[in-house]
Amino acid sequence: MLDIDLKINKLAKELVLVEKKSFYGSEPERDRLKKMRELIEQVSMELKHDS
Amino acid sequence: MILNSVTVENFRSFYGEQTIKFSTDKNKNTTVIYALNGVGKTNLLNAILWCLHGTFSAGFKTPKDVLNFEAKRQGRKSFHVTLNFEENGNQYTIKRTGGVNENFKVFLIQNDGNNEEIKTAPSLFINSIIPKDMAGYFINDGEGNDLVVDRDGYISVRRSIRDILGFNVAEKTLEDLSKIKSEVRQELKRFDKDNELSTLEDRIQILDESIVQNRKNLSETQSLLETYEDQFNLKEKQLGSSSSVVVDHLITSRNSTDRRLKSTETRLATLERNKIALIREYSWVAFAHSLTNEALDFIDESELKGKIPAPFNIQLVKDILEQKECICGACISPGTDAFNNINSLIGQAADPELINRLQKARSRLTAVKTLSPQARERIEENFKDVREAQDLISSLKSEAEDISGKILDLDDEKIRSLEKERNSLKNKIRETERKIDRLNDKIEDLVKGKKELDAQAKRIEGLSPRAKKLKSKIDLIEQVEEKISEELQQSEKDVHGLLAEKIDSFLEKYLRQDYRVAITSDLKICLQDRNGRPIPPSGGQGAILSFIYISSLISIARERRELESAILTPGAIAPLVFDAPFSNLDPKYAANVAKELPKLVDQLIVLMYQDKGKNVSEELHKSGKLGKEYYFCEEIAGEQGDREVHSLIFNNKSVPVTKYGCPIDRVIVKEVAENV
Repeated sequence: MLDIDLKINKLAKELVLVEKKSFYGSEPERDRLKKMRELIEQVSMELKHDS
Repeated sequence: MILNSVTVENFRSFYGEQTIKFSTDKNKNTTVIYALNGVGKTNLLNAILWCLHGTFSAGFKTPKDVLNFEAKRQGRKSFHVTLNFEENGNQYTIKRTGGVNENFKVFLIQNDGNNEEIKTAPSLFINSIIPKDMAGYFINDGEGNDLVVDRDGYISVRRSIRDILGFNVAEKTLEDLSKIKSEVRQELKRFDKDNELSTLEDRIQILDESIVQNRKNLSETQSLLETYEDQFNLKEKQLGSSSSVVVDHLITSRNSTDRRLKSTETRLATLERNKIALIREYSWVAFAHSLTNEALDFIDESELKGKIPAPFNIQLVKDILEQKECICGACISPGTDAFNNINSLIGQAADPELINRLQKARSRLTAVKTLSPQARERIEENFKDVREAQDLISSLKSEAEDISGKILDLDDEKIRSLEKERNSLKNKIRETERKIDRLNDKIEDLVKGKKELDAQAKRIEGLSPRAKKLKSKIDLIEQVEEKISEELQQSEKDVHGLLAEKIDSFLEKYLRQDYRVAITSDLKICLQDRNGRPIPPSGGQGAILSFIYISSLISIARERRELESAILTPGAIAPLVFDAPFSNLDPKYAANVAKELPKLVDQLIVLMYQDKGKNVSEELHKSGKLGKEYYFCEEIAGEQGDREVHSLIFNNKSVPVTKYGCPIDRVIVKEVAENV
């Protein structure tokens, strides 16, 4: 449970960072959703393997 | 962040290149730039803001027209600003070009003096030092548009708090997560053969979108309400500053009526809440009242007495018949008279359990009967109070309408127009408040509905592996959304207490009087006297409250610099660049603020006019915090004619700051020490 919480926390932070880069104009806005999908897929797979 | 210098080129009033080197000495951390009004203070402040983030302050007029007029006339197409600054022991340069060729570059100045361009995410790098959302509070144009003090002395600070906490990025992330979740749900439809889960998810999706939309509407409506309140307060202020005795009298009278109306409305709200509580407490008594009377007449357990002599009971009679022997020892055989007589007693016997139940029922019904008049009295009293409060509200409203009618009948077009605008804004405020209530109710219903559907979705069995995986992904996204939302809510709650603490500390430093600051749950702050009465924003107290608030915000941002959250934007330690900070400040506070302000930040840059009587410069000199002084000199191409040559006073010497008969119109920067 603790591990899942940690992974969710980490994912939340990474997703916000992707948004931040696009929000402040450092990275193209159009790429952000793709990066977010990849991060979610990755954590979803990790959680599936863990269980 | 410490600013070393700024160079402006063909930026608004500055023709060619003009450079200011700021004081970077920690002990003498203040740079003052003096200028007459309209000569270029706001331009310089905006040059700094624009170089950092490509944006301008609210007070910067015609932002599309930045290229210096003379430069444009000579065929130049671009304007430039260069900022040199230090961060964590490293030196950096930002170069921004606007106009036809737009460009933004950030360089790290290496030890050998060479520049290394930061090519990866330069704007993110700048935002990590001083976030765009916070920059306006550090680089402050003094217009105070965001911090309007209302008639009751309150400042609404919710918007600025959210900026300082860095809500914008997190809220945008939540929007994007909602989009991704919707895509996953679409995909789920293809793998959920029975359509059971996807049908539920479709319904959840609709609710989800509706929740997001309604929350967004709520937030926008709350902001709109603040805007209307600000505009309303401004109109009230304009009406209140009328020189007419009649208007003054009417406004004073209306203010008193409004105060009574507000307090009566608060009382009515309390009474309405009490009414609900009373109904909850006594409704069963009211409903049971008639029934109680009838039931008590009907229930008479004494009738049951004597049906069988005490202490006999049914069981005793049954035992006698079963054992065929009376308690006196006589034989009771079936068929005998004695047997038949005893047997007939059963039919008439009162069950002691029944008697017990009836006694209990009587006791409860008697309690209801006793409570009934008490309930009636309390409910009637509440209804009477509610009616009285409603009547008073109605009478006060009509009083206020009469006053408004009198103002609208006055022979003053300006006053009439202000009053019309005020009334229209008041209606808008009422409508907006009602809309907020409706939205809150709707959101509550939607969240409840979604929870029920989620619970149903969890109970579905027999999903394909792919459908299960997609469902897990949806759950994961929802958990992340919850995590981000929780952090936003918690941080807003935490800052409430922190803000109170900060404000108290600045209050003591700036005012040195027994004032206190109240903070409402919807993040409005107000200066109060020792008896808790709000202090109207007259006599410079409104300006001092804004000052206290800005100082508190900056202090909060400073403490949040090392924030580990990563969901919210960390705070900033940045220079405070203030345009005309003392202009609205009461002279009795100006010197004190001037003394305390340099202690608030590592670097202070003040753009100001020399206000006589406020002793700002004297106080800064005396405190030993003044590192550098500059002034703007306005060169004018035309002849002087009858026009005045303006001067500023430095070290008791008068220095002219307007020069006529020059080749071109421009503003040049001069350092005080060099020229006086």
